[in-house]
Amino acid sequence: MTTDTSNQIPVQVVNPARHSSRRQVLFFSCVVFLTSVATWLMADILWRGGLTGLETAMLILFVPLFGMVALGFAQAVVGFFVLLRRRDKYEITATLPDGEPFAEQLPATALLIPIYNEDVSRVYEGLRSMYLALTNAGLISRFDFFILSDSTDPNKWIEEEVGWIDLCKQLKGFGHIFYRKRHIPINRKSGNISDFCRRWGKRYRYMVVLDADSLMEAKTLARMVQIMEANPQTGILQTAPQPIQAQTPLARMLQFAGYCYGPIFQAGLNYWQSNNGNFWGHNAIIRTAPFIEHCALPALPGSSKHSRFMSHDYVEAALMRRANYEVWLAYTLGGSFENLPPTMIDCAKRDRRWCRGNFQHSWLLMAQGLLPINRLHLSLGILSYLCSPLWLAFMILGMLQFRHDVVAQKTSFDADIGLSSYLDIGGGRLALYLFLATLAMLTLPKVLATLLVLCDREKRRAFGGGTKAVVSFVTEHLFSALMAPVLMLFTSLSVTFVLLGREITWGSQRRDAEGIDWPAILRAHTWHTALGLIAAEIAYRIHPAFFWWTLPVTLGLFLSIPLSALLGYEPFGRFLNRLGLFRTPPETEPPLMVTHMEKNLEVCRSQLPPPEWLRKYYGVAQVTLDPYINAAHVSLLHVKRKLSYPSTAYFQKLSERLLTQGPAALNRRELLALLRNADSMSAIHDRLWKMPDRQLSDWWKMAMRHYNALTGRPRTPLYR
Amino acid sequence: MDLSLESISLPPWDPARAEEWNDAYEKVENYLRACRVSSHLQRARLNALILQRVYDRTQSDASAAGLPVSELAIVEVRARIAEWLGHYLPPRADGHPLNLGEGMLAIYLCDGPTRWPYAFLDSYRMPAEYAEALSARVVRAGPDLAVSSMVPRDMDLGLMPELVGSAMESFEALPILKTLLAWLLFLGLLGFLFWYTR
Repeated sequence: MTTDTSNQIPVQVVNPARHSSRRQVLFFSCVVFLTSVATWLMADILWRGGLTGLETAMLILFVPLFGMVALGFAQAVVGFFVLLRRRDKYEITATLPDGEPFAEQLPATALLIPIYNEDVSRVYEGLRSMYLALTNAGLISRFDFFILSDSTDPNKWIEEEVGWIDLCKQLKGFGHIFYRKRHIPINRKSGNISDFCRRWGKRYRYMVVLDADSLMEAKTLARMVQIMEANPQTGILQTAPQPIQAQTPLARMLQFAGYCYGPIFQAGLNYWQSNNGNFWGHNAIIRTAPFIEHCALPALPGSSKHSRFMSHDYVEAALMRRANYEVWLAYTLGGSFENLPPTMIDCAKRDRRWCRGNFQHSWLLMAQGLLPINRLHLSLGILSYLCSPLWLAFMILGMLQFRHDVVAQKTSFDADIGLSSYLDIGGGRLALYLFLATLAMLTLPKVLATLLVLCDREKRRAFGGGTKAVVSFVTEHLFSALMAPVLMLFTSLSVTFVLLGREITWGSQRRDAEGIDWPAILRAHTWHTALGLIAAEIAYRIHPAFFWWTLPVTLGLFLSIPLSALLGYEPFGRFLNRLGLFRTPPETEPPLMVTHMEKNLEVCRSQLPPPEWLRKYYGVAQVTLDPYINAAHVSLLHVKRKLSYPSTAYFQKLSERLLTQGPAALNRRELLALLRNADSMSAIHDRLWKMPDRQLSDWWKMAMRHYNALTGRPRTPLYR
Repeated sequence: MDLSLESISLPPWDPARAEEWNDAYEKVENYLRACRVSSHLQRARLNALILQRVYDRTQSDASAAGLPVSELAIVEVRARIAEWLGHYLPPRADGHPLNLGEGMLAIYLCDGPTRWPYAFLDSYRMPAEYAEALSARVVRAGPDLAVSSMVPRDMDLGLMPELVGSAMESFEALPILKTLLAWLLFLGLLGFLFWYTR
């Protein structure tokens, strides 16, 4: 077990506040300039003898939409030049002390892995890789791992416990790897982290917050601690997680985009935000003491159902800045990895969660004490989702306006009025130029990022060669353009539901052998296809030329079903890999810990799973049948108080139903209630074995035979 | 516990109760497999010994005679495990002996049945290393607590959010308002379409 005994490393003072202000003024001046010019052009195009109501609405919508395009463009261009110069004076990693870190120099650091019904094998194999990497680097004595579970699936809970004990036994990790299961997951992930802080936060100077799919190299972890030691005013240091393990075409495309385009956007982001960075919720190190003191999340006003922040990270960064601690993005640190959603539907699900969380931030926009830059971060987070319905509204208004002009046989659109009269071009030509300029601003960042790859021999090789990198860029751009309207509709739906205070559920996907879940795809995309067809039909009826203008949007919608299936089709992803497309540096030279984890996961997944009927309640079967697992589970429950008579009677009734009717007779809440009660679990185990077979349900009779005969030994995520 | 093979002398079976004894055999077999006793020979040996003890008990203890044999067999095997563990596990700090669950956890933590497959319930074949490993029986899910207070600081959200928040609370309390708003939006849309198509 680790304790905080180290001495502080001499401090190198970084005071970028003055420079960051100058950079922010410069950067946002560019954004405002681009947006203003484009808005002027748009106004000029629309103003043909005055503005109608529709035109005014379009112009208003145009400003935030183009503003976001300009922001992304400016960020990428700035980032391009920063990376071209190969240095940024105000980058936090510049404060890294020379030389490799020694364990004695590092203070106690906790690595937190909050989990919620996750793939246990993936979580624990990731943990194993990090643990071994730290051990090999001689640094394990300074790091403790905490698996913080909020799982509500009874089977997952038992799988996590069994996996934890087995992992600790294999790694001799007792005392360095801890497991904590919260019985009531108050405030989700942020509540889970707060719970750690309240219990053990004082023991650790820093905590590294990870996601279930996070992976960080030992060197990166040590360097993060070193940077924090060198910069005592830094409260949060966020790394830029790099995607790994992409299999489907979509994930491979996103992975390619992450490695190829990501760096220039990150460099640009760091340029303007510097010490006013953001927290992305994981793969970041946090100074524990100020976090405990200043970053407890306030309750939200309004409905109690949504009264807690779901996206806690931005708020915590804002609270850290309010307490005068800096928040940095260490985008050049490397060695920080995460997984990507494999399908478009998974992307939409993730976005739906983030969307709900980001919209909650609107409560804080006018909160006292927050820095303007943090208000901007919160606003941009909201706007990033709001842009989808705004874009949809803009297109609908555009369609209505065009139809209006066609019906009214207005010819003034092409007349030389305003700016176009000076340039001697009509309004139509000016609109085309504005459209092309917007397209260029959307494309240029990717072009610049690809150029950076092409200009560097090492990078070129890491991306599979210059030609393949260019083909990957073109293909990615094409597919992104097709996907954009589909994702826009998904997000618009999410925003609408969020604003109505309603939940959207898609349910879990059931993939076939090739990774395609046709029912889910048809459910999710049929309305996109229908909408695409209707929009194309209306556009054609309005005017054939308008049909061609809207084709980039309607085509993506029309093709959404095959597109979604193709992009989630794993064999196609492997085929692209064989062609050398979307190749990324960790595939060309896989990091050791990633290779190690993948090898272990393959072993885990090659094991014969229990039959379907047993798999559904395997954890319940394990904890009830298995003397060791029952003992381990009971020992991890800390219920000491004497239960009241009604409670005891309730648990007895549940136990009776479980044994005589099988686990399917109990719902999830009832199973969880039983699993939380130590006395009941001991008694159930005892009774199950003592009961004559004729009194047991058929399920238990079968489970007893299968548990011992088929699986041989209890199924754990590790299997070795 | 003396479990040498020489000590087995099979009891005279009552053919009328053969099925009952067969069930008991299966139960003990399953239990031993659940305890990861993977050797068939070891399981058969232990099973015969357990059943013999059960038989002796049914002969000597009148209260046991009325109970199902399979239940008696499980009680017996668990009692034997507890007794066997009692030789190796020191009592708790409060002086009380460890319960069976704590003993099972100790076996699980040191991977006893996998590392010493023939030592289960056998004092004669108990390696010193196993006995030592059993004593490290505690599993710690977390380090010692170091309690901190983490409470949200007061935050003035500003006038607008407070007003909207209280409005939302009233809105939630009166679902009729929600429905009314939805109808108003619908009527607004109809109005817009009317205006647009003129």
